[in-house]
Amino acid sequence: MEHYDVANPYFGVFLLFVITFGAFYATTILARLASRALAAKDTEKIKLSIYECGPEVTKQPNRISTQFYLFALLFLLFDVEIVFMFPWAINFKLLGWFGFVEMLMFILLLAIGFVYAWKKGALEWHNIK
Amino acid sequence: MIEDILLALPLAIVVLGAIVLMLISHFPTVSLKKYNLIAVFFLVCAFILKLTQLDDSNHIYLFEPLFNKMFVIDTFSNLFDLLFLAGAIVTLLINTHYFQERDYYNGEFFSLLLFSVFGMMMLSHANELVTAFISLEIASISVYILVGYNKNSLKSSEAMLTYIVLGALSSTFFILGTALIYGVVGSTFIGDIYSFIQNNPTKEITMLIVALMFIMVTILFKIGAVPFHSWVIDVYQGAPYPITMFMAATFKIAVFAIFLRLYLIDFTHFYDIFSKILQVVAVVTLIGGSWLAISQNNLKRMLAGSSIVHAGYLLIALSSIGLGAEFAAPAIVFYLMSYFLSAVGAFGILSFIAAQRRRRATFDDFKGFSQERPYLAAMMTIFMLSLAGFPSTIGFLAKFYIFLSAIESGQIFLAGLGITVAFISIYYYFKLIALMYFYPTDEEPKKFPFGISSSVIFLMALLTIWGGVGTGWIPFLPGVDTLVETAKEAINSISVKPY
Repeated sequence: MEHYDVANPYFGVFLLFVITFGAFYATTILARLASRALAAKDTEKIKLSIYECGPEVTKQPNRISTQFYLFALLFLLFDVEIVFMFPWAINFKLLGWFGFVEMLMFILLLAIGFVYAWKKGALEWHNIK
Repeated sequence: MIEDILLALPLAIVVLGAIVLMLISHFPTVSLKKYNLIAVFFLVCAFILKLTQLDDSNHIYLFEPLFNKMFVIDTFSNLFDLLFLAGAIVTLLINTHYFQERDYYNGEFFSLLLFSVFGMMMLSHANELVTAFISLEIASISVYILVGYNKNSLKSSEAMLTYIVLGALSSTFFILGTALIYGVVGSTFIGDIYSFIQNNPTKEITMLIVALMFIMVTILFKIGAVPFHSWVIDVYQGAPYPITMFMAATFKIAVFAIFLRLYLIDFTHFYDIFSKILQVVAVVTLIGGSWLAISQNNLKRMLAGSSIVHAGYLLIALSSIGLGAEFAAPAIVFYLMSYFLSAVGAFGILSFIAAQRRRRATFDDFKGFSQERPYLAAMMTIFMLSLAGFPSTIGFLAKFYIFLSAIESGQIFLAGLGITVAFISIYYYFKLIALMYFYPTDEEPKKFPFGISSSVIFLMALLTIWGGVGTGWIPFLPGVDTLVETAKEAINSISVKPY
């Protein structure tokens, strides 16, 4: 018999890979069949209740408003713009009028976003339209 | 500087349109029709401006003293910009009716769509990996929101959540790959990576291969190639029709814009490895995609599955680029154009029908459709024929070029598999045609609904046929050869070896 290119050092690993997948698949199916055949199917109240490591399930006492999330997001957005402004301020003379106009455009774009958020009522408490 | 501003003007117009729409979305008196008109107006302005710039800009770096080769303007990027703008315009025009029938659309929808188009246009201009990442995210995040636009629909929200979680996960691979490349090369400019490998052939090559592999994972995810395809069908089904159309026809092209630029320049020295990887992915994508498309009962899901198959054909051509097929890269651009025409038309008809009636999505609903609406049925037939690659439509020529390039590069097996899969795809495309024509119906025949939507769909059908047969028959009208020439010119404009 002719010698094939199976002598590749990774061929064994590949074979193992295939066999592992097959074995895993077979095990999963067997487990599913077995549990379907053998498991008891009663719907008791206690069995269906939520299990939380022993203690009784309680409701969250302090509910946090989603408004905080919106505020944090807006704060982050307008806070980060400062990061761009400091290097510009330091190199102000070097960048000259061109840099000034560029910065104005940058602030203008942010201002549009600010106007949008304002008009949408994102800055007022409990008044999301 | 003034020339640069002029070249950047189409991009600026799209952003300006998005901002204007965002600001006027607060006025309750503006109707959806007006929003649509404003959005289309800005897009058409950008489209016309871009059309005048198509030829006369050859490899210019935009604002070079400021951005230092981050943005490149060449015929390739201009051509793709035109495709994105056309895609957005056609999406908006075809769905005019649909927007008014559903109650969840408002001004921000159009604004987000324009922002997404802006991101895609930046993506085709990006000559640097971080810029490419940011543009990809601008486009993707807008699309994430648009997918879940129908907030009251559980399916739509679920699709959005699936897409956003998986999409964000896949995007991290892109940024990780960029970081690894920066670690090795010390620069993220696309041309710099090429010249680094050229000058240091043995240094840290493994690391670069891993990095490029990571970047490829993101891109393969975004186009829905098979190991990363699990999101495609659910997301396409959950999204509203206009967005499904926009994702299938326009967003996929945008991802190919950056993939082609990267593959033609950065991957050049690793073609022997990546061609093999792409071959495997193409085989799996073709088979898996066909299997998914065959097993669907819903028409939208079938088209989603078939879009995976189309990505597979494109991957065949990509792998033949590396094996020395000269015509493979233009073939991809041409295929993208042809897929754009047919997919926009097919999804357009679906959304057009969905606007008229609440539910018409499964195959069974199309029984006897030809008696009810003969003209729409004929157009649907044209799009299905084109998607299947039937001769005398543009889809046939596109597939022909793809298989030709595969054979030219010696990948006979892949070409054979591609042709086999094209025959398999006839099953699920012709099933619809057979259902439309060979079954009786109880519905009354309806008149052809003249309007913007139907005329745009008609135009798409005409272009699909024109692309297949009309070559050079009538003088002064661009046919397929013009498109192919443009595609070739576009590819030549990037493969000018940088530096």
